[in-house]
Amino acid sequence: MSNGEDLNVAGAGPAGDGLDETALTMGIDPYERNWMRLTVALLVMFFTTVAIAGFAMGIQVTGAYQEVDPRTVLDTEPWATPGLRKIGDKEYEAYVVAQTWSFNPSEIEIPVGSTVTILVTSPDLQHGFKITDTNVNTMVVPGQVSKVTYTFDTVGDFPYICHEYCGTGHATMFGVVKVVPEGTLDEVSGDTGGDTDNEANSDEDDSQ
Amino acid sequence: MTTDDVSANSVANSERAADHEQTDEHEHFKPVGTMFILAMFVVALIMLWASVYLILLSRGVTT
Amino acid sequence: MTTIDEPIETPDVETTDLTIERVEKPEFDLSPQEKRFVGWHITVAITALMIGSMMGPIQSFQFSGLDLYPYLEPVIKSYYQGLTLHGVLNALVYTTFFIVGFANLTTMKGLGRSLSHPVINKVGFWTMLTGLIMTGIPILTNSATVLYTFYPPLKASWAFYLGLTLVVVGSWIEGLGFYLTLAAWRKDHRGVRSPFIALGGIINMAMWQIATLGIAVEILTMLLPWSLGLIDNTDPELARTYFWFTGHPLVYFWLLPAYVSWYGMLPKQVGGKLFSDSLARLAFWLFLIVSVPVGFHHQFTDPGVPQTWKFIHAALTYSVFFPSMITLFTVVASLEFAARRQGGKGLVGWIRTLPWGDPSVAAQLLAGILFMFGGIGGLTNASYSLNLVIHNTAWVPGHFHLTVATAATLSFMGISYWMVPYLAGKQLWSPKMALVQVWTWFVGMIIFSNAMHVLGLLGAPRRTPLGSAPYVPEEWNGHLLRVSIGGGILLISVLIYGWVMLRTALGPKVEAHLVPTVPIAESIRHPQLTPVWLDRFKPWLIAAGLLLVVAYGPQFIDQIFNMNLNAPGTDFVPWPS
Repeated sequence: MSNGEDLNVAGAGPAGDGLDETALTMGIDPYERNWMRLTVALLVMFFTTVAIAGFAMGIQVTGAYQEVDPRTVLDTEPWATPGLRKIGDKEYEAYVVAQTWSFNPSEIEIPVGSTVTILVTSPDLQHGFKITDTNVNTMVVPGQVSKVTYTFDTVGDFPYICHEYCGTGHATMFGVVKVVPEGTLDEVSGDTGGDTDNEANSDEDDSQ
Repeated sequence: MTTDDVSANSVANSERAADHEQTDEHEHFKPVGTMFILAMFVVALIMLWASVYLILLSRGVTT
Repeated sequence: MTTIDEPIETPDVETTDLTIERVEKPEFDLSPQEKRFVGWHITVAITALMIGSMMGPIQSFQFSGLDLYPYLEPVIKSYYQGLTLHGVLNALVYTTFFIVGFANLTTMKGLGRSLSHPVINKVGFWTMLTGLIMTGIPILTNSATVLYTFYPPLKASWAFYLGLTLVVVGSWIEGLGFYLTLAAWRKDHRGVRSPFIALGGIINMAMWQIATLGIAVEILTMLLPWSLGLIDNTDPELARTYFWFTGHPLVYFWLLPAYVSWYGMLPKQVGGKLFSDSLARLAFWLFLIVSVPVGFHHQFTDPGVPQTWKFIHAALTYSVFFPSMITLFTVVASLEFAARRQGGKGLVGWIRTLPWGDPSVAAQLLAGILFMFGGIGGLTNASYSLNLVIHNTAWVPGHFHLTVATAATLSFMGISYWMVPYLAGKQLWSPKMALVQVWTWFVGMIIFSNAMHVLGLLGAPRRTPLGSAPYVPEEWNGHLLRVSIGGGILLISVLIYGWVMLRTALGPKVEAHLVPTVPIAESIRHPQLTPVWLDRFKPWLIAAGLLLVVAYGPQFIDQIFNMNLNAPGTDFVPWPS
């Protein structure tokens, strides 16, 4: 026999309203009901604000851009000669290799007001790429190219730091974006190609 | 089985009056202190969240 | 508000019939063997916590230049090896063993019966323990310094992956034992609502089983064969997607046992009742549904995942905030209800009426307070492009030390202050010291966590020995020092905790009436008035499955069918030896 049935029979109240299992309510306190409404309203409000930053103002996260083979990516252009390329007036592309345990190039120099499309990849382990005091922040994953475009409107040094654990030299893995006042930059450095500051990388290049 | 019968029946018996009295206990208690604490929480939530949002906006546009 | 005392002083309907029930039904208690079985889980858990927690403060000291690693050289070769131990032991081992042990207790005590197939749970436990040893050896021998996220192509020893798999599989087996026990109970109690503390713990296990499918597939199809040399390469982006399928629900796996206690036990401990049984259950079911399809919010800055899916998961992550906000209201209202019936007055003055002198209560209250800020940080993390400000910065460990390391851990410590004496048949050794422990944890964590959040906003990376990083500007130094101070206070706190636990466990047996009992809270409204649909697994499991297919299906299909196993990693061991 089932207690559930007992329950229904025995539940017949004085007013004749049996304990109808299907008619049970949650019995939510009116204050709590309002709190739940407020929660939904808050979430909608926050989410709208987020959507405005993302889509109306165009502050966007990295998306799926391009896949590469991490085993051969450094043998082929443009990654064979990472560095800054000028593609227009105050418009640049920066190909950056994140590799145990340095960035190549480790320095990017641009005039203030430049828009730089940064493309980062890794031939070995996962790394991170975050330029301090900017909204440039992306993972660097072997096999993927992370693409971020940013306009540097302030003069100064902006370190880019590896923020994903990648082994022994992780804590010393960084580079600098030097944003210089207009006219102080040698035109030659507009297109630098590979950066030879870095021994590990030049060894790598030599061997290939 | 007997204990279960007791539990189910006693529950059911209590339900009859429960509709009236139990909810009374519930209704007499107005969680005003809770609402106050939660209001403070919402203020903190909005302010702290907004502070990060403003940092985001101050750091330029990334696409 | 003045009428609050009235219905309580007159023993009304709500108590009469149910009192009879309680008298007639001899109260079930765990047998000595069952207590020992739960006790083994808790012993392993606390041992892992003690070892893992020694590492954290040492990391924090490094931040302000106090480098203790040379002294650890015989065992711990680097900051990163210590960090791996800290993460794996505290976030994976301590939590899993404690949670499963606690679920054994809440299942048996909640349902008022023994496990239906105790041998299943024994097998589960030993599988977990075997896994723990297999995971621990490579970590200690520095052949798995890959942190607790083990992102490929960082390659750990195969034993590390296999060991983790066994820990997870063991927890699945124990989960099965709980389901069968619940099914057996339901057969005998048709039409009766499942007792909340049992149901809550079991829903958590169900959520965990769904969630850990990600990590299981990642390890079995990619990492284990790779570490055994059967395949040469990995697909790191796919591995990340697998990992975060498990990685975010993992945080709810940590939290929900604390919620079981906050909803189903704490009200009793403070002399009150659960404010809303219906909403407590609803919150748990919502966690079952929305905990899992949110993983891409950990991958907002990943290449290889389209923005659309990131945005969808941002919205879904927002929805997880809803059951947590229900929890906030219900728990605080339960506390206020208890305080007012004991004469608590004023808009907030009633808070002082709560039994702050009970270390178990104080721990959970303080854990709850810090969790409010953890929630604010969590909403920030979930907010799509706001993630650009804080992704992989020190903010993130700052955040999860408020959630897993306080909301969960400090609550678990609070639980252990009654549970360990209960299991051992002892009294808590020095409740005063326990109170000192609780408060030092609270204060230490505020200092540590605040400094970490600020450092993150300034751009400091996580998982980095910042004390020796060349790019650290002077501006960070004050905050780095605060991290160390917070870490120091936490070290004191955890040492006191270990000492109190040890002295309690080794203390003399006391008479039964001096041993704490398991606090089980009644709800204001009888659970039998809760709608049936809040007591059924089926509709919620179906909903969870459907939502998973919608939220994860297309991207999984894309990433799996376009799988590129082409990342070999390094041909040398990349971490310090």
